[in-house]
Amino acid sequence: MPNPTHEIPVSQVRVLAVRGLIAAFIVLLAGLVMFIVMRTDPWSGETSDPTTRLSLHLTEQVEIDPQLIDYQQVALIDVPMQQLRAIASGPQDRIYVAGDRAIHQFGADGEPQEVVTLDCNPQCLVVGHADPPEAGRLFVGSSGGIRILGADLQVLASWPLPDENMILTSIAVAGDNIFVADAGNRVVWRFSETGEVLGQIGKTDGLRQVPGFVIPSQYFDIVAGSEGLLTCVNPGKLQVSTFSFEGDFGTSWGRAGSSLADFFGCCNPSHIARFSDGRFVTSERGIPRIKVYTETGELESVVAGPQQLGVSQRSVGDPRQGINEPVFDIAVDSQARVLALDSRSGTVRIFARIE
Amino acid sequence: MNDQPVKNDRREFIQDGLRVAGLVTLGAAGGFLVGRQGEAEETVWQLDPNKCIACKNCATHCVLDESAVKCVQFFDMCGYCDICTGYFDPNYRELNTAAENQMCPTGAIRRTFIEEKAGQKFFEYTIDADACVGCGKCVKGCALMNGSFYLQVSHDRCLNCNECAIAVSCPTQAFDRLPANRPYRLKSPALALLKRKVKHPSHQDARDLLSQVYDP
Repeated sequence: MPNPTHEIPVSQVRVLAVRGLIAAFIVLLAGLVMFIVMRTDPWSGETSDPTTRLSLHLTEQVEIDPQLIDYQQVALIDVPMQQLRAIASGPQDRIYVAGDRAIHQFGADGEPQEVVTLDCNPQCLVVGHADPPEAGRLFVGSSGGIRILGADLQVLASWPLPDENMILTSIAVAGDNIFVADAGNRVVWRFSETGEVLGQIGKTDGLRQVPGFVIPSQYFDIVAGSEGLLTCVNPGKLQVSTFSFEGDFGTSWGRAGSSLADFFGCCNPSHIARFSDGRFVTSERGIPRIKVYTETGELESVVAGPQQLGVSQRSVGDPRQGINEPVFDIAVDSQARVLALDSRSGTVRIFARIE
Repeated sequence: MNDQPVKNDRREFIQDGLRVAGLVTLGAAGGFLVGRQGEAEETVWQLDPNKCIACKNCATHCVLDESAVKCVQFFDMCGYCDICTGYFDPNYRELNTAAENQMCPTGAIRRTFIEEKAGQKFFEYTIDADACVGCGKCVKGCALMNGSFYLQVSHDRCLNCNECAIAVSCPTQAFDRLPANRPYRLKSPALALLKRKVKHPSHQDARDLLSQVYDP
């Protein structure tokens, strides 16, 4: 009698074994792929704690590699004022700070020298060169008008503002020309020494190919060069623009972004100064950074980041700051030092290049 | 029958007088307290944006599944910027509304093109309250620039608990109770702006807003 059990042919057993091996290989491969994905997934850390996604992380932007910082703080000057508005450097590297209806004068080493009281609250300040026609004069802008003070700090001339919507944010001088940045009308006014309006710079003009300024907040700084060029921050465009004194648009540089070479946020740089060799120093708000750029706008070095300016990482983006926001007006002196006005602590921080 | 006249004891008379006076005082005090309770001003929870640090506790500590605290926008302080630090993640790749470029974890901010001026585009940023979880991430981002975003308790959602779980956990004690007829707060610069704005006769919307704002 034949055996009732069905014998499986050897060839079929081999086929089944191969199929089993292939299936096991596929399962192992899928497991390995999933393991690698789970271990390398950049978001896996966030998913383990869902509240991480609710927090704003700015460490990458706030912390600056110390190797990239070429300056160090060499002095700190206490300024006995409640509201520090503007800083300027003058002949013999004297330092001037405006605010609280006064201008305080310090020596290059930070020694207090003079205090002159004003009949207005100064918003912006610049000091002319030692040589005529500027002769070390102080040019002060306020909501009440423009005042020119002699090197002896006596008022030489003054005139009211020509437009009631003007919001003065910066003042610059070159020879007989006085330039006043007006955030209210988004233009720079050009005055003569007697207060005569010589023109407006930066008004949108298609024929002259002037693109216009974008000023989303009250930060609009300018600096005038003796070669006949006026350099203005254009914060809404995150750029720096250059004009001739007659208002012809020259060039713009600057790029938006969060990397060190770029300008962060919606409106930066907030302040600008210029070394005698043509290089620019910029100061940013939001994430406070002071940097040096070449004449053509390439990042050359970092003067200070939030840590060097005494701004803790925790306080960056603190909604409570309001009017006490860490924004640093800047000036430079003949020794290529960078002066930063720290309105929160009532001090002037002086930075010098590390040799 | 005793016809002798009742002698009034002076001490008893004084004691009776004091008892009556005490009862009258007790009754009057009770009536005063009950009456005062009826007249008491209703109060509601609110947070002070001048003290708020946008710590995300509002999103995680409210007893509601979805927090009653929402972000609000004060347009008069907004720069309508193309690159809004309250909208875009600090490491955005492109300036568009793709989710990976947005800071808000729930995509609760609407970005709407307004106009192009001086070669620059301007956008309006509004909050979708239904999507907002009140984490304050955008408030911190906005504070890097103009600071027009801030958090407020939304009173159409808040249960007005006796002990607010967020208020208990708030690290800056930013929560307190406000009169129910003025249940909202503004940041100090925003309040100053609004007060200036209401002087113009055409700004009825500003007057309506100011009528709801608590001004200490």
